[in-house]
Amino acid sequence: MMIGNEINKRYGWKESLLDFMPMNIRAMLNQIPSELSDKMEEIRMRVNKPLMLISANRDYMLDEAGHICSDPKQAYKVSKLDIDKTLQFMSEYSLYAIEEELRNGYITLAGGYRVGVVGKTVMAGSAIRTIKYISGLNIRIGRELIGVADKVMRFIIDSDAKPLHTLVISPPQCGKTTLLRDMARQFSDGCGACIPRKVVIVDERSELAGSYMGIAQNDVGIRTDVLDACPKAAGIMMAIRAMSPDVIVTDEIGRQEDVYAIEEALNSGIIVVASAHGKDINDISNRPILKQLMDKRIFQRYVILGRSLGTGTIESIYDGYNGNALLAKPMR
Amino acid sequence: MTLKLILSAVIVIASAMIGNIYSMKYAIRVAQLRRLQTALQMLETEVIYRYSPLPEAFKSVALSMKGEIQCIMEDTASMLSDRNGYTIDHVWETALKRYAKSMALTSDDIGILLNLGKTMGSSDADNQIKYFELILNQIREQEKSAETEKAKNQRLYNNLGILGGLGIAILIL
Repeated sequence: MMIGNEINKRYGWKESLLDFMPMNIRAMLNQIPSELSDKMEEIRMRVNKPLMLISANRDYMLDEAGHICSDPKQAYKVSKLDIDKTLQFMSEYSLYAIEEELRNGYITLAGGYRVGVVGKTVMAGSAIRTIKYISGLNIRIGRELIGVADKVMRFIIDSDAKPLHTLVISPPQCGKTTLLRDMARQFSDGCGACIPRKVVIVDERSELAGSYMGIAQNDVGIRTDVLDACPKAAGIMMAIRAMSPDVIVTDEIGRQEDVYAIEEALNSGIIVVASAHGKDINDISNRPILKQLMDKRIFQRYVILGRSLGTGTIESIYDGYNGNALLAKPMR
Repeated sequence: MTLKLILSAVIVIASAMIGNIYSMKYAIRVAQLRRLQTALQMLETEVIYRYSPLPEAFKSVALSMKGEIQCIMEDTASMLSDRNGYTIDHVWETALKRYAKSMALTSDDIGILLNLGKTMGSSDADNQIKYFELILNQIREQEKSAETEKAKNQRLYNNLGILGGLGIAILIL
């Protein structure tokens, strides 16, 4: 990928993340070869199951000495104590302080790392109250690719360099959040013909900005305000009312109230840049709620991501008004 | 004879002081149990109302304490922030045992405090309230029994000191 100044968190994950691991696992992870650690995507801990590392789309197990091994019998098995300790360290010994995050099934660490949490959910009425007996952790080493949106930016501004309402459509793990984050940064800092604008990120899943204690850990631009862990529809309304944004960026829309909020933003003259899960435009038009957005011609651009040329491939870009394809072939 | 009188007087005073030191232990224990309650209540407030993470909570409690209790709180805070891979249970126990020897607490008192390390921070706020209340109630009970012991033994040791001194003095004279 031709990217000018790439910041890839993967190279620095050890310094940030090892502190949160029990000593024995720290020692093991310190042993792994650099080709593995440079491309690390996930570290998975499951009670009584082998410790698993996911790097470059493959999984690896480690034995007790920290060597890669292929036999699950010889692999180091994560104990309940390992998980309890990791949780203690990640929460600064204070599970009560991360109650709200646990309820959503993840914790965000300093540095913007996301940790998925599973266990037994405790319900209060129809809502999840908390997760107890935590049995599995998925430590995700996210990427922050500065400049990943460079090639797309010229398609999502009009002839006066004004941003266009854009929907990024992508299957999971194809770089949707990474792309959206860099778009937010470029709108905020300004890029090429595009003058800098005020941006609000409504970051319901804390993935765009990767906020830790409310402060964005990823570079999302100097004119960007982040509403962290805020429900999208409510966040969009809050932003319209109080933050006077030019652009609102939000991840994974799909609920009815999202549609109303987006319309509200449009009526206030605010540009909306959002993403949705999906394979392609047809996929989106089959989903009743997103179809409304298409029928109302709310989005002026559809950017479709895939992995035909590798993760983060821009498969196509459509004009939302006339349906014309703006890309001759996929690019990356 | 004057020498004997002086010697006897010294013995009586010394013996009374020894008795006093013994009796003071009971008063100190009561005072320390009270201060521990205050400390734990402050910790509870930090945890339940301010949602401060434990290292921060301990640090802020340490600021308003003094003596051994301050040291325990400070050491716990700094060990927790060090990220040396220790559990809260281990850190709390280490800090507590480091200073407990120089305190007037009994092994029962220390046992109750040690239990706190097993539950502290390990659950949501609702359950933390319960754990804190449980420990605080136990410490209140300890305080009551310490009061009784103090009433019973303080005078005993004081009298024993003086009377013992007098007894020795009579023998000398």
